[in-house]
Amino acid sequence: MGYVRINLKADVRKRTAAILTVSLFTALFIGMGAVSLILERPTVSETENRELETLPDFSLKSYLDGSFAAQLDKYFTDTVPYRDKLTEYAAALENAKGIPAPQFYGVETLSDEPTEENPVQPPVPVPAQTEQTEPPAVSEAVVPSYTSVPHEETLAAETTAVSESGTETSGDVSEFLNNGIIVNGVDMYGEKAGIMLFGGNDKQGQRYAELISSYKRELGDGVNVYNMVVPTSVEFYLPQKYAKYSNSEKREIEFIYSKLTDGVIPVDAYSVLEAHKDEYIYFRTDHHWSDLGAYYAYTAFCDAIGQTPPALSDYTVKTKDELFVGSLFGYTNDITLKNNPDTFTYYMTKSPFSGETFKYDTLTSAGRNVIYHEYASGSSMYGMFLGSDGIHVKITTSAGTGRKIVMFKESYGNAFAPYLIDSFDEIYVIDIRYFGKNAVQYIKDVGATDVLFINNVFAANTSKLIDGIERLLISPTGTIVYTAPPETSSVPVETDQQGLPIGQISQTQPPQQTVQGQPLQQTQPPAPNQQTQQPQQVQPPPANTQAVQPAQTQPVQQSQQVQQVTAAPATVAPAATAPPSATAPPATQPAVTAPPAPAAAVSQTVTSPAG
Amino acid sequence: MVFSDLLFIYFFLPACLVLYYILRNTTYRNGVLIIFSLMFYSFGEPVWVLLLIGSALVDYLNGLFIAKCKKRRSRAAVLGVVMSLVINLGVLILFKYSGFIMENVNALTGLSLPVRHFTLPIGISFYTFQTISYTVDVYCGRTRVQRSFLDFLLYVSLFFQLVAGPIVRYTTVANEISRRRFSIFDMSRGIERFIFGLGKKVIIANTLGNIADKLLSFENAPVSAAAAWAGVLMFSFQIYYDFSGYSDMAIGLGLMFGFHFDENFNYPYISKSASEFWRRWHISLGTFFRDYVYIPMGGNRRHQILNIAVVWFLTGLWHGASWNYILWGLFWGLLVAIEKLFLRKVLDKIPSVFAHLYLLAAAIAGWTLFYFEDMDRLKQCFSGMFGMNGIPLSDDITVSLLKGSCFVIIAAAIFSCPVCRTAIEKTEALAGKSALAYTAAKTAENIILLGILAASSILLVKQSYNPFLYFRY
Repeated sequence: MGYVRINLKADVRKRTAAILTVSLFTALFIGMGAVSLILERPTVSETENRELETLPDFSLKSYLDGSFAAQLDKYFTDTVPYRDKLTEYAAALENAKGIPAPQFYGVETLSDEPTEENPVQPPVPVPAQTEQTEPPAVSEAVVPSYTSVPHEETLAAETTAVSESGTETSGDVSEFLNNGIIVNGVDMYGEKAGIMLFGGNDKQGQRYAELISSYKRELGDGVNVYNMVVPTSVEFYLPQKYAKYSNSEKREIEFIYSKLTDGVIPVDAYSVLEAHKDEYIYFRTDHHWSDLGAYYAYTAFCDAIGQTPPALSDYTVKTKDELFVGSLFGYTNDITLKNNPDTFTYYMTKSPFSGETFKYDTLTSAGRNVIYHEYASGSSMYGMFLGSDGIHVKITTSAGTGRKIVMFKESYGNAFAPYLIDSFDEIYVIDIRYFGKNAVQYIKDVGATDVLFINNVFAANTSKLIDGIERLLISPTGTIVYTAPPETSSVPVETDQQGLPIGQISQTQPPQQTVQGQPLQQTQPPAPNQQTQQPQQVQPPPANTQAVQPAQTQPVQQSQQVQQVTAAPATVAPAATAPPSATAPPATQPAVTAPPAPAAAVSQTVTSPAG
Repeated sequence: MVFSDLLFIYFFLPACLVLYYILRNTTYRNGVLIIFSLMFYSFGEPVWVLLLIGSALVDYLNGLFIAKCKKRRSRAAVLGVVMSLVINLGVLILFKYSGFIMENVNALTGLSLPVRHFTLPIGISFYTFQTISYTVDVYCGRTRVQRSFLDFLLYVSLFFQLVAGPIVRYTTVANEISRRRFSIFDMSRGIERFIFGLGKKVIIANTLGNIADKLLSFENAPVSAAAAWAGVLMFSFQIYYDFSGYSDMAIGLGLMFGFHFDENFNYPYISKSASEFWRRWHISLGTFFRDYVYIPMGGNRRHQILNIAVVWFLTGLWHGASWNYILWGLFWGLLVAIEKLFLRKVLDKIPSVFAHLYLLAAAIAGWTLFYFEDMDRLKQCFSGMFGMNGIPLSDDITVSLLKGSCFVIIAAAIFSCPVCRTAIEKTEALAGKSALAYTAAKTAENIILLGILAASSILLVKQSYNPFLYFRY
């Protein structure tokens, strides 16, 4: 009897326990499921600095090829309510999986030192040479080159980030050639840090140096061309035992400088940064340098241009209340970085200046004419300087030195640019990745006395960026039409040319319209064609809009000849017919300014023979 | 869709549970399961779901045909089996092996016949075997024919085991298809199993798999001895936790809906011989080859060595259309054969620790063969393991990877032994002894389950990519 009673009791206990377990977890599965459907789903991730996946549209096709289901799955996981909070917990869990140890993200042992063995692609100073590689039938002779946006995706992403979070992003880590990131094995300024390892090599470096030399060659003696290659944190803070995972930046910078020719003036930022490496010149959690680092580089630049920089005490020093956790955290999600945030100190000039900002694609005002975006916060705090990379900035100062500078940069240049306020009357800041015009032409147009290429050494070794430098050099159209026009077309072309530079856009109100007037006139005749183009114009066309003219297999001179013939009548026509600024209503601006390249090409090839 | 997927855990599964348990009638409930199963499958294979249904239909008809012939005592029944084999294996060969066969034909003859690699319909290796087992069992009289197509389709398409096993025999679930009893104990155990399986997959397998991939992805630089050993060891854990975790989830889901599947894993790494290992590893596959290949060929009565060779060749080939899998299968076959010849007696006599070491060494060597489809990289890995790559034996990255996940690695080693099962058995035994102790133990168990579920879910938010290894088969 006793035995049976015990068994009965045991059975009741087991049953009770089972009921409890079942109720608890079914309630959890069903409840969480319901809650996850009801709660609002995030659309952007602040910490990861990206837009999240979206709910797919159902169609039979997307269902049958599996993309609907795949996207639905991605959407559900990616937009879990409280995602940023949960990923933070996930990072903490990852961290709890073991003893804190140096973490290597994407790091590989570099087997060999950089070599010069590989022949370098020769820089291409003459446009004719590359025209042959461009796809045919896309001509832009009269479409202002400002209208093309080289890196549409990045730009789009940045614009979104601006509108969503109110602050701007500041470059993407993955853009740069690196050998991964070490976190936790390295200290900077007494705390744990992340360091991006340098995997560059001479092959790209040589191309970079040769391209910059050809800028100087094109610009001639009247313009000083400076080149500053900035070392990054890996150079000064990587422990010796990890040296095998990173190539020497010093060596690479020296290599690049040794390949500069034609009187390009190298600026030695390395030595001054090295001398101040115990100061807070780089971020622990971000791949950028700090404003202090940029200041020291500026003092080196002053040496090169023969000026004396203001002392640090001449600036207004401010420190953000909010601590800064930067891109390296976004990239690795390593909690160590989150736990060792940076302090963000910046130095604002006391000299008067006025800034103007423009969008790269339309050259219309970008809205906020600010240089110091002091509201920048979160992971994009570096956007404090100039805002986004995707914004083109002009600064007018009262330095009174009589010098104007055009500065070609990637995001390292953002912190640097404001220091130039005390050295130049006008400063044009151009991000190599977003600009679309012929740079040499542009430099001449704005009447620059000095040109500075400032890039961190990763960027100076990154083919995409170097391609950008090359693209700006050989870029559009304009060059040929403007430089060697036949007598008859020189006048309208001249007018056209005047409309382009930024400096005048800010002075005379509607010059963009003058510029737009031409494609507008051009594209209007084939009306149906234009109609079909319109919807697509929101997206900038692919890279081949850069194409100067129909590709020719004929010898160079002949191809130039052909272009002049085709281009000249085309440019004459609109300028001669009517003042386009009057006819082009501002409302049509977006549609018009985006280059309807194929339509323009078609209309041109059609109209030219007739003309 | 996979089980370790937020969409599955927090949308698909609850929806299926609610609809299933709202309905009281088994026929309707089966309908719910079929619809959800086909949805589950079509999520990954929107087109090949038709192949699945077609395959089920073919063997359903084969079953009816065989039953009819047998009733008339006609020997034509064997035709039904032949048809089933030809169609199922034909489909399998077409999708899985045609590219491999053509490549080898080309290599042997010097021809350049076109090689076409199909994308493998998910789970095809599993469900073709299941339907083969059905027709053969009907033919042999081990089970009665299924006259309802929907019931048969339910057996074939049941989403618990459809895409990555275990290979559930028709005989196992034949009765439960039409008659299932709800049991709160089954439900509770099912939830428990599912969550444990989820944790095995998300917390352990994904972590260690990540390490293994990092260590074994050497391309330009040679691999150090530490990296090679650690990498293969981590992969050995990964593949066990990945696959057995999936089986746990499948078995757990089965229990939640009233099905009782056989165990598929039984702590294989505590084995003391290769033969024992294969009685504990992927049991449903081992027994399938035993019952449908080895024994029909004559088992150990006729040309046993040939039978062993064929079975292990097929076992290897089943895992993938590449020579390294075949090599891996034959490697195990060789060990099993040697054990049968004399090694078994030796292993029985020596202290068991040596037998364990022998098995672990064999398993690790086996997984090395298994990991590398590229023979050059396999060679590099082996030479790395024996320090013949001319670089230091260890390196920073390996050390930091192991250190950074050391608690998970230790857990992986501990839970390869039956500690969990023992703990649960002990807990249940407490029920008859002390209410307090039992309550405490049960509470602890639920808290652990909650912790595993929470940790897995959170980790899944970060891990957008976590396929199961056995999806490839």
